[in-house]
Amino acid sequence: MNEFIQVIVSGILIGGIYVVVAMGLSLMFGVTKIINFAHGEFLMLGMYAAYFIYKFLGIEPYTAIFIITPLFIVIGMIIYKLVINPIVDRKHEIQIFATLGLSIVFQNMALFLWSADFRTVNLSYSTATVSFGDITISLARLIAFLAAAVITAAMLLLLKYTYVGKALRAVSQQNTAAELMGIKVKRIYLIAFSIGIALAGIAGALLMPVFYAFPTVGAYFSLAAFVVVVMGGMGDVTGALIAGLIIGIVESLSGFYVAAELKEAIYFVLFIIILFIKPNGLFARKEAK
Amino acid sequence: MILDVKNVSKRFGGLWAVKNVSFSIAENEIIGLIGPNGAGKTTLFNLISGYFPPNEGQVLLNGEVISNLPAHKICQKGLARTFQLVRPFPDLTVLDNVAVGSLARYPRLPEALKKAEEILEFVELDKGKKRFGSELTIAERKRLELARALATEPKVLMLDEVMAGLNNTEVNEMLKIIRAIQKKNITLVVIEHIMAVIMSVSDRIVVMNEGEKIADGIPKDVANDPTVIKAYLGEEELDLA
Amino acid sequence: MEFLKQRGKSFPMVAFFAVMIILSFIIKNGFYQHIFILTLFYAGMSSAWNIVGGYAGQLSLGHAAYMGIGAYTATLLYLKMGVSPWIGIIAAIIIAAAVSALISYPSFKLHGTFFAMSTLAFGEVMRIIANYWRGLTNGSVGLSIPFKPSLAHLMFEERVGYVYFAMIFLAVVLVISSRIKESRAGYYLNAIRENEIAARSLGINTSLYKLYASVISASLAAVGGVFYAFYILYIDPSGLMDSAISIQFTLMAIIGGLGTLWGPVVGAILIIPLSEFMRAWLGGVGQGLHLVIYGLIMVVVVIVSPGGLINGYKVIIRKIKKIKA
Repeated sequence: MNEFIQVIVSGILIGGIYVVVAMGLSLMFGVTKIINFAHGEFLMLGMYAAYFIYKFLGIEPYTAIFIITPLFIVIGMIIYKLVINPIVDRKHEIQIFATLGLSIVFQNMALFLWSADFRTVNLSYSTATVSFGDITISLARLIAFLAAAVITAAMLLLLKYTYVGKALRAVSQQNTAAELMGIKVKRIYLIAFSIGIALAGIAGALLMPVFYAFPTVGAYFSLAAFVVVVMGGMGDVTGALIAGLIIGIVESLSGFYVAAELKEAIYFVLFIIILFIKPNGLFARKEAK
Repeated sequence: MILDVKNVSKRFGGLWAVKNVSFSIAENEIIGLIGPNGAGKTTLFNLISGYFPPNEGQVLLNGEVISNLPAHKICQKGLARTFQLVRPFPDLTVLDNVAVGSLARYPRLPEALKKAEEILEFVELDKGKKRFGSELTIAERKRLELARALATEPKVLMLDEVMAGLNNTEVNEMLKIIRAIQKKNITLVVIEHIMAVIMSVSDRIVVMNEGEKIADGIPKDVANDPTVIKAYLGEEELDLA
Repeated sequence: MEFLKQRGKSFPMVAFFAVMIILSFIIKNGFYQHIFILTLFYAGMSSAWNIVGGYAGQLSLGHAAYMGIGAYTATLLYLKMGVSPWIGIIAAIIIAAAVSALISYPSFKLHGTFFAMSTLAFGEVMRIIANYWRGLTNGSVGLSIPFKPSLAHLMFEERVGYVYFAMIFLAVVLVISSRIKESRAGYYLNAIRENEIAARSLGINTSLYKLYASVISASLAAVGGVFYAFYILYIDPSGLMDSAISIQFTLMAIIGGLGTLWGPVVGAILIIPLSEFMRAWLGGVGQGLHLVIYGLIMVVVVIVSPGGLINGYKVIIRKIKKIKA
């Protein structure tokens, strides 16, 4: 029983990171209707950014978020202007391949610049654990989870109460109507994309103390994020929150009770099943056709 | 009766988009289907053409129940339709667009292409048949959509606002085509918003409001029907000239 | 007249293969021969993908799985039971067709990007299974085929034998593609790609035709997989079934012209030699550099010329005709 709870808890902890990655992806999709196949690569870049900031400036990854966030917003804006803006109104295949191309570029750029070596950051508390009764948790993972929770809460508040947040939601529901109301849709696209990229970068920083950085690490997390986004309902940021935790738990359980190598296959199968039976997400409200 | 609509209803969530509608169409009639915006005309079209099944009721084509069939089967049985928001295949040529329709009756491509040419001539769209669907004007798109549906050689053809957005000359050309279609022994159901136009061309008018049928008769009677006038009053000035 | 028209249509095909045969006599250098074989092979794979991805517009990103199914089926039959790969081809077709029918039918409910994502996940699941099922596939260690040249073993002493086999593979795929394109099925698949609702209203059983395209496409990809296994003589899940390979089939068709007969061939002729030469030239500079450039080219081409090169050419021809007229 303890073992089971232990597995569930570690699933929730990793799920918190998935939430941050998936929220960005979901926000981008909701607003621009583009699925960013390069999302995982921004997470990978976030990990490397956190790694180098720690290595050269000695700033711990959790603090480095305050550098990474503005940095990735700028990167997001540049990528939006160069690649996303020309394809927002184009066909699916164009959008898929432009972002897939980006992911190939970033993955291999990382390989070229930083080699395929696994990089880790060793913090004083990297191996520390905390115990709650019989449950033992890695301190670094707990901090990562709490930071993820704070960022998630901040995102939800931003969406709910700020003008930008309202505009983002308006555009994601009805962009023509939003345009009529005087919202500059293209600017909202830019904002959504940059925030999404920043969230991927932040997730990378959160992961750095508990995971390795390597050029293809993004693929691993972005596929999990796709599953979360579809499960939560495309563009539904709150749905992503619940789905992220569920996927974390599913992954943890299947890794422990089935086989670690098969955990991806298990949530992919879950993903395909969800796509088939509930393409609008598990929590989709019934809508009139 | 070539088409029998019997007590059909369609519900979206808690809302009845079409409620207990019945009417019959005799062979070779032109029926006008009118009603204010949101009256349920297009939903009724979607029900009849198999886009989705009705919650209640039945549709019979030539005495055979078709309301449980998928859209492609209904087309093969001889009922074709156009869409209000036209959907020409943008990256296919005009000729190929129509050939897709002809292939329903003529599985061999050369024959289907020949039939498609004939239909394009019939709707006077044969010039520029090598252009792509996306290159056409609104009026041409509406005509292409009509041609494509016609190419499936239907017994009943349902037209959803084929004249909306056209100028006077284009409307008159379309009316000419509709009358010519009738001469080919095809029964027509026409949704139209421009009342004057539909009155002149229809043998009978069915009026819908808020999902229900409120009148059914020859154009003159319907135009003078107080319930019809009332239904339209909130919307715009009556244009029954 | 009709006869001449038919001849006119097959002329490009005859001319293309005549050039390929001449090239097979000219190219003697092993490295160039390898590039030649890969180009023909990828042209065939991309054309096979094009039947479902281009004609029917169902953007599958999991086709490497069918290639993997083909390669593993024939290799295992050969290694474990001594079955000739020629019979292996038939077995590969049957299994790939069955798997594609099983997976495609439900996935066609999905559209656009969602369909692409589901096929991407499908491909990954197949790769993970191949990796995990060690008893059968030997996992990530892979399977080696001992080199015993003979036609029955589909192995050739001279590399040029593989050139001809790849050429025949491409020819078969192209003939099937052009047959489909110039038939009711081709028109119906195009209609489905352009607008599924309108297609249904014109009497097209859209699910059936999509299934048909998918099964043919998967079967041909499986045949390609058999060829690949008996050319490289080594198969492993990540070399064979990686999503990057699926993406490459798709990319070639998109660059050359999605849904056109020759688009995938043009795409392969451009991309394969380019990426092989870049790998050879830039591989020494540092790992990954050639793929950075490859990715950049992909992004730029997709953004700048979204219709593919074949369509770009058609647009130019049309404009010239307009000016003349």
